[in-house]
Amino acid sequence: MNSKKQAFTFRKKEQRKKETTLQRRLMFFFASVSIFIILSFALLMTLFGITGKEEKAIRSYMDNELSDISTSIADDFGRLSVDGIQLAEDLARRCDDFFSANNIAAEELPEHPELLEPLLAEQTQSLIYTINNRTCGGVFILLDATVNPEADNADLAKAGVFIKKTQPTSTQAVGVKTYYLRGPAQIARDNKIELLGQWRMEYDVAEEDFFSSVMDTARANPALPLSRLYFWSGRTILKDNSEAGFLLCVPLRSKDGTVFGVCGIEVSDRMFKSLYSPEASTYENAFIVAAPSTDTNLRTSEGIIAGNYYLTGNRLTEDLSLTSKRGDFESYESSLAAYAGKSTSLRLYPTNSPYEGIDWSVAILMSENSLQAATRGSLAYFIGTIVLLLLISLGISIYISRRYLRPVTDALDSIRCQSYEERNPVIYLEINDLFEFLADRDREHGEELQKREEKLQEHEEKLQKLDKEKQDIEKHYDRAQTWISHLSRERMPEVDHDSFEMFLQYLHTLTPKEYEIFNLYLEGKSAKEILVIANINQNTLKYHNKNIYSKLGVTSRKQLLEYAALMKHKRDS
Amino acid sequence: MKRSFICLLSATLFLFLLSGCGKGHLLESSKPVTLTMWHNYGGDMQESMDYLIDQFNSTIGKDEGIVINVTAISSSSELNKSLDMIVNDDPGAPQLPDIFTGYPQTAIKFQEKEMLVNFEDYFTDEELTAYVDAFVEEGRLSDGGLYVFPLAKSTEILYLNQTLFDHFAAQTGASMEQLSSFEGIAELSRMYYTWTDQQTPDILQDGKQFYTADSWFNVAEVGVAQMGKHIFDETQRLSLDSQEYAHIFETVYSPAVEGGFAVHDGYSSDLSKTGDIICSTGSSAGILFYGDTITYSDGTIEEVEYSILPYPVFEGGIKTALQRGGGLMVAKTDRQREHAACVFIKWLTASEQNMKFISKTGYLPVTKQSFEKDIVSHLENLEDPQIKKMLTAVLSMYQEYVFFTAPNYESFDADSDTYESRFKEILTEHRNLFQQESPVSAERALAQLKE
Repeated sequence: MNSKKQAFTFRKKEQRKKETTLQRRLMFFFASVSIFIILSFALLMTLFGITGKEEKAIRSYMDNELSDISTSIADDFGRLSVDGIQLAEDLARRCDDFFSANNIAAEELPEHPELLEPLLAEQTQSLIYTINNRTCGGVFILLDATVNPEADNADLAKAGVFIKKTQPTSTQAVGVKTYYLRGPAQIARDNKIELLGQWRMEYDVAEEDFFSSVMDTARANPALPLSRLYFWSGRTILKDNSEAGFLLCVPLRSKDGTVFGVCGIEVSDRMFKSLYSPEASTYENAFIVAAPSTDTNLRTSEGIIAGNYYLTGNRLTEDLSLTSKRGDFESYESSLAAYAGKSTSLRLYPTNSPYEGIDWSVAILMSENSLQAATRGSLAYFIGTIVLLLLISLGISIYISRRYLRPVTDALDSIRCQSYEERNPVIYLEINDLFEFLADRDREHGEELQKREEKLQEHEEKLQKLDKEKQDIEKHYDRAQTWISHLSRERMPEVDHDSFEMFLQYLHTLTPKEYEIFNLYLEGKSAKEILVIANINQNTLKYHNKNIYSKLGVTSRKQLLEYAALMKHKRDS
Repeated sequence: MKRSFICLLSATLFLFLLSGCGKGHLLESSKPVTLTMWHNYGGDMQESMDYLIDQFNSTIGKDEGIVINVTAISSSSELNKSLDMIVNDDPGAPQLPDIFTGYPQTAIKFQEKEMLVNFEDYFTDEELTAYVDAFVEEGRLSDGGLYVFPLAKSTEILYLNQTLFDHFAAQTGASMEQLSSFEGIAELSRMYYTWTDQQTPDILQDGKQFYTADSWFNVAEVGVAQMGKHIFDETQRLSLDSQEYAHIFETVYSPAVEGGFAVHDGYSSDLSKTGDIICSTGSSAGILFYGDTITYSDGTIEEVEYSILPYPVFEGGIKTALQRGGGLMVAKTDRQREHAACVFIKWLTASEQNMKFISKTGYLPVTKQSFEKDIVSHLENLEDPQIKKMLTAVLSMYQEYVFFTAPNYESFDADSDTYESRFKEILTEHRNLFQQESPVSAERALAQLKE
């Protein structure tokens, strides 16, 4: 018995454990749906590569910037090459005129140092015109001669002029300030050009050898036109100067074929930066670099970068080796840093140029870490967003389930308190209907109860009446009994004693059924009542009556009742 | 529940509106406003300015939504020409940039046409007190408003090629003390001319020049101030009638026509670099143009050392030097652009940035913090020995000298330019006459100048 009770309790507990509240279940349902939708969304985004949005954006940004800028560089460098060739032709023609006027051949120039300053002075106007009308960082002329051939370092000194300007991309709206970097000081004074702090009168080719190969190549290829003999130097910085640049070098060739110098145009660091910096508002670490290149190397030590100096500095001191390609991105490394980005080739020389084999590239790069951080940042952002969405959906689930179920729980409370009739209507029709239904049922029950109470009262009244009747009957019965006793006493003398004695003597011979009927007679029951009570038909009663009469020696029911009354009186007395 | 929801919504909306107010002046990092800028920090100073502007654009500018785009870098005079065109509304005049460098004299013209921002509208009194009072005062115009914001200041100093001078002094007994006065310099120039002339006895009158000035007008203006007078009279006209000016003129005129003083159209550093002069007075910010070598006409290069000496004083005068250096002006446009420009200027002139700029350019800082404290400790760490030398000299001058600021007259630029060119013309002409043995007296020359 005890173990059964324990089993029942255990089952009950287990059942309670499985039970849950409506709100918890609804919240669980909402949260499940939300989480499912969010995770499905995240899965779809991952499958369709939408999560790599940042990487895609970087790729797109680099593609666009590289395409635009490399095209600009190719166009601008091409235009400058043409300008440089024109400048070389113009200067060579003027120099030829000067040589003629001074009765010397071009090759004799080194032997006439006294002619160098006047020769350069005559060329300076062309240089000034060129610098003022071109987008460039500087213009120069360099002659294969020195003002002091007797000096110890005469073979390393070369006469020439180098003029720079502060605003390479001048719009001409504001006057351009030019500075004098190399050349005889008097020429600068005559042309009112300020000498830079790094001014020197002559080039020192021990450190500024950007032209010897150009002159050698021109001398080795006398049949080639200037349009095939120009050369773009890698990043070159003149001695002590603070600013470097690419130098377009075009040989100066006299009409007799003598190569006596080089002239050209500079694309300075500053010019390159101002013209070719990638749009920095999105990725401030990205920069453009133009440099000579091979299949596996970017010779960035000879390149110039355009970008945010504050973050990138203005040069890369080491060459970069291509280490891998990750998708569209190329990874480069030097011993100092690693970069990633994209590159494209830059064609600087025409067909048949002796320099045709020198490849150049333009690349858009950012540090490998920056690129990875941007991508990682994107993933972290994505995961963060998903987590945030999940938390928000959980919060909303809790809020909505509580808010949704509040009327239901209120309704249940009011049912518990049976106060649903006084409650305010809620927004749910079903609950209002339920409450109306319950109210109707309540009313019906009330009415029925009232009816039942009325009936009960009626029955109680009837019962009281019956009790009264019963009391009356009992009074009558008692009175009758009294009267019977009295009558028995009175009639005793009139009774045949023998018959009475026989009656008493043979009473026990009655069968149980006969005795039952006898007693019913004694109780005053009528024949009809006895038929019902004894559950017998009339013939049977007659049969039992006949036997009773014969056994007790009476002839009628009146006599039977008389003897029975006498017997009772006798027993009582 | 409904009430709490409405409260939450209201609070969110309020915070949103509040955050909108906090943005102030409609600057948004997502929609950057691009400001154009013209400045005159070219040559070797350009890299420093480029660096700072890059830094601003990458940091504060990026956060606040401001991009500074430098559209012109040129000399002050070139910028002034273009600014003049703009203020006069000349045909073909370029568009006025949002921020530009210039002198108060330029600002007057713009302010008369209400084209400039009064910085007092964007800087609190407390913020302005962080700057050296004299520098701020220099940027105030007649209505008391601050229209030229100090960025970098300079004074004038005496650059001395110590190597050449020592050689000269060893041979002639010339003394460094004589360099403290213009009269002493004039005397030294005569000695130097004679001494150098004597080096080549077979060539007559080929002596070398000793001194020149970047601005002869400054010599006159400061010289008169040293003697307690003003070169402009009460009607704001150039006054050359005073005895003080006559003394200055005579002090300069004689050595100039005799060949001791060089009269040159360019900067004095150009002559220094070829060894054509020994010393010169010029802006302390010109230090970067001096270098450490001289190159002779035959290509020979000689390494030399420069000394930086205080600005010379005319005898009897008090130690006075010119305080100069333009400032930044902001064009009146709209509140957003003006505010953005002031954010940039506030950042650029803050001590940290200001020290970076001056340590590469040789200008003087403009905040009290930098000028009175930071610069002293900063001097020890300076990489450029020339700038270090110059700043040391200038700081010592600030202990002993009275600093004089050019008056803010509208006609100032025109008057000073006219004086400079006319003065040089007369000296050049009279130098030629002197060489032709037809000297002109100083009195006559002065009379000619006054005409």
